[in-house]
Amino acid sequence: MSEQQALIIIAGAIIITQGLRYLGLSIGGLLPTTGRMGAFLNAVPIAILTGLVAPTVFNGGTVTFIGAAITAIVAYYTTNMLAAMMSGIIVVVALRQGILF
Amino acid sequence: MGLPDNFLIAVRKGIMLNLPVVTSVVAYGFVCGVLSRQVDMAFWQVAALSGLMFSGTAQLLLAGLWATEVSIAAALVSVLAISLRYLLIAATCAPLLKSYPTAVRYFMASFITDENWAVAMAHRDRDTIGGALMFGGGLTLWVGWMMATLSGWYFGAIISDPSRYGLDFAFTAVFLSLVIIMAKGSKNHPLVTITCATIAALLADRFFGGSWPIISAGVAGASAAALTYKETEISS
Repeated sequence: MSEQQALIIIAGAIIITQGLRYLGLSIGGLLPTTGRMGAFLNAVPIAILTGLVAPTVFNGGTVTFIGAAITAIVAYYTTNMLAAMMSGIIVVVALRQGILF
Repeated sequence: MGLPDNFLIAVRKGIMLNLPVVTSVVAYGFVCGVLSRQVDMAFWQVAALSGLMFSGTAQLLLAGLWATEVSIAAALVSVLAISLRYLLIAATCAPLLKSYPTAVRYFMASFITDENWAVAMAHRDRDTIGGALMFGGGLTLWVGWMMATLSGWYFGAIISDPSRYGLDFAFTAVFLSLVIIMAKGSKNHPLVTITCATIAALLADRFFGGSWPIISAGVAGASAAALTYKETEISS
């Protein structure tokens, strides 16, 4: 990545992210929060984040898949991000070092 | 029109309420800093993103794309897709910030993230002090995020093999736990959204690659949620 390309991506990312916050603030209550459109908009964050992790979880090999399963289970029962993250990482490291099997 | 009388007290309350949250943010901020160093991001680049963009998910995403010869357009479309939720959460902050002068209102909105927004929304006095709570929380998270990402970048140089510490898995772990925690709190049909988003992402990854899995998952998952909503509306 060239210095110039990096600068454009970083400046663009800052403008896009802050621009979305300001746009959201200025349009305020105009966005639908109920009905079909509301359901669509509410589901966007979960859908996007799923798309971010799904390829790695399912194509990343057995160790990654087991680590992901542990992370998901701990996240579900504790709703503690730090605990979920650490459990998954510990399991992945232990499996790679051959400690568990 | 100035700041409300109880502004500083409410900001301090926001800081205190977000202290438990900031611990997990610092943990994945450190990971984000280490990853940024591994993919050869410069110190100023990490500082600019942490300080001015102030979005953990978008920054981790960029760190993930940095090493992949990604085009400018693909990188920015990915950022747009992942940050689109700020449009929604900032819109729900509008009532909390309406009593502030315009410049102050927009400055405070720069600090909106998932974590301090959720804390402010969960507070029972949110209509009166919610804006200041969100802002106080944002300041706490900002300081934590800056320190964590920059020290992660610094120590990234001496962590020669990140996979030995499972740091390559940290990115997946962070977002996967976010998905599960968000889904657990969702009133819609998160399982339908997650299933459709997963299928779309895997297909897009198989045939197109790049940032297409993210975009396809967003469209497919959100459309599935919209369609399921209609069905429940008819049946009820």
